[in-house]
Amino acid sequence: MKAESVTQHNPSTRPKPRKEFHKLKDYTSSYLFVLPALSFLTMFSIIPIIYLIWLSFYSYSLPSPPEFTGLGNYTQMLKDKLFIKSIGNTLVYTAGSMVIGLSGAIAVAVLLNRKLKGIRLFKVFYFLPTITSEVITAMIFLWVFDNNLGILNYILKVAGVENPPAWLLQPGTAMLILILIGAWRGTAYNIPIFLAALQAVPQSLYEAARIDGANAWKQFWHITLPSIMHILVYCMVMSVIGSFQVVAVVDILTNGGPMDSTMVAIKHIWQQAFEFNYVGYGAALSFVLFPFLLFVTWLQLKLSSGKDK
Amino acid sequence: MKKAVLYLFITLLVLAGCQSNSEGSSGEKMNVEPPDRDLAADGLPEFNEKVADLPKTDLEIWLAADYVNTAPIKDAIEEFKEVYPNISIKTVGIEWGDMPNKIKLAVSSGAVPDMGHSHAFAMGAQGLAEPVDDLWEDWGEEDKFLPGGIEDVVWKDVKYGMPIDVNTTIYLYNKKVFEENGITEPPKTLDELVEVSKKVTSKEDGRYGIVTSASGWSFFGNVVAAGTNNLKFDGDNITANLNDPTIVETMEKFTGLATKDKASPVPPPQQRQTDHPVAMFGSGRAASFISGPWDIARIKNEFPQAYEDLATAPLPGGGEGSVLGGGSLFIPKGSENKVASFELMKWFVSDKYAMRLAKEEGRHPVKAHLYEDEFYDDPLLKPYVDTLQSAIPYKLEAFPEANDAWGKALRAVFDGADPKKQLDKAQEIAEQAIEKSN
Repeated sequence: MKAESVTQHNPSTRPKPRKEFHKLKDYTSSYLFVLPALSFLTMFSIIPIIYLIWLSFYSYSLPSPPEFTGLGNYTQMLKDKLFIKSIGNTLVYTAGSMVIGLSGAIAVAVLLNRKLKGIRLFKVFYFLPTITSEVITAMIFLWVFDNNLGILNYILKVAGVENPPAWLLQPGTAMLILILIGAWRGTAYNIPIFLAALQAVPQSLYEAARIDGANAWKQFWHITLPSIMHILVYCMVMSVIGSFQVVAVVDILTNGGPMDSTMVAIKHIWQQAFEFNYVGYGAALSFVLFPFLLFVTWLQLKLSSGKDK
Repeated sequence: MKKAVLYLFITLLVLAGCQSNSEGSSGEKMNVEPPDRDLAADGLPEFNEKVADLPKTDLEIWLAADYVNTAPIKDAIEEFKEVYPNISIKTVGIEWGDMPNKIKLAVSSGAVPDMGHSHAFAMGAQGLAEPVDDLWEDWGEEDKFLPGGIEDVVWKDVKYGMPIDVNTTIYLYNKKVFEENGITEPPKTLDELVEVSKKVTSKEDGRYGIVTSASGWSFFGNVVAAGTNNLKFDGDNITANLNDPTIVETMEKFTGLATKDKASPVPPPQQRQTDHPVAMFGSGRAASFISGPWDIARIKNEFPQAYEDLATAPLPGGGEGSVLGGGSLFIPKGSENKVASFELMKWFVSDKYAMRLAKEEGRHPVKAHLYEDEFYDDPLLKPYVDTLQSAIPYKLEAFPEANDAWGKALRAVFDGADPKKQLDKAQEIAEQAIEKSN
């Protein structure tokens, strides 16, 4: 290595940086441009989060003023069996809808990535569930699965099934239907993302693999999957976050029943805060859910990075 | 220079954002003269000097979304403004179920509307409504109202609003199917209801005898018809009575129609329970169901064939009466326009507009004498009018957690749980909720 180059990279020989104050002054107009966005973020994200944390230590029933209860809401949470059950239900829903949704999305994206006739029409068709509102989706599935008036049981009866299942009235099938709806929507949302990722994989890799005699499965396993792994992790994280926020479909289809088997975390929080008017307790439940979600996301990233290696 | 212009622009933007755009009463006096016509003769409230003397006043009223744009309500507002040009009215439509939450937030933030639409007793119980006893006393027309209607606005002997309409539940059945099965009279007791429902159930025809509902409000009608209540009232002291033996027995028999006797489908799990029975009855897949007069019009419009064979009767039970429904108007806590707002309520329930609400919208009046109108000569409406006299408001709604526990207990029993155990559990929750509210 030449002496000059060492001198050039020696920090002690670098010109002294200008004072931060001067930098700030130089960038004043830039900061002013981001000020509206920053104010928006502060007003609608940062302040509410701080307020939520503060509120979680209070007993607050509108319109009475909040009363400090310390850790009261948190100790109450430990005795709240329904909250614990709702977390369990949410995890089951998340795992089910994520596994089915992501596998489905990858499978469809791989198919759509091939140059088939009429593929554009299919792309539109598969994307439809995403642009349909959650409420409409729930209504459609209600018409399908209703015990007495649903089309599925009508078909089963015509086919000779005397007592078709009461889909939404049994804990197992009710949750399964919710998972299927979540997966259906998740598949539609993730297909374009996977499709874009697949189109970025160099074709030369597949050509080389084919020359080496690799079949379609081996090509998928050794080329496609590792190439889209970063996108898969992103979609997994987004699916977990999305699944933890599910509420409208549950509200319309099962209302948390039967026997609380589909009661999910957000619905429980909503009920406590806005239906029963325990705003402070609702805040505490939300606050607990946040690090929990953070942990699940971290775990997922950790596991995925392990796989990458 | 450019920077200076930019700073000026941002400063103006910030100032514009900070500028208050609140509009209230301007304080400007107007000379409002009584109209040249006799308002009372037109079925309207008499000219109110106190309202005419008010300065220019802006009222913001929040009505249920399915009321706000109806012709009778819009016309009542227009006519009111003609008589009192000093009062301007802004209407906002809010979903019925969202109203309590929106009112809670409005009262807490201090930006209150001048009128809300829900159950005034529940709003009063939660400290969200202004007491209006003085205004009722000034008006002096309380005795014209149905007692049940007044009950909808009273909490612990204080009136918190004005009922706008009432309804109650009745028994609707297919008289042709009943006659074909040799049943000439509708059931009068719960046991008879079970027997009749079993008798008209036909597997061959794919028909249930009845469609039960898992609505806690609707089931309360059966409880009242059985001669009891899920709350006990002793002056201002209210206690839970959810596991009363009569209620346990009623729940057992009622849910048994679906779970044991197979004379009814198990109700769907959705919160809204009203569409399913109408569809089952209208399509001929059920011979009877329990609902209110609103479904008479619905069957007439949506299932004309089923309407031809429709008959109605009071709710079967040991006692008499049912649950009292409908809604009431109230003045949210903190509103400064009580007098004008109360006057507008009087217009909504006036003979003219109450009858229009009944005939055009199927919302029945709260004033007893209006039931003498020939509109109520319809034999299908007779059981409804009779039941109305002894219908009781569903006051458990004042305690949201107890209300939820009651609904959950009913749902759980339909899903196979034991009625006694479920009602004991609900009773415990209700006791705690009532305790907390005190």
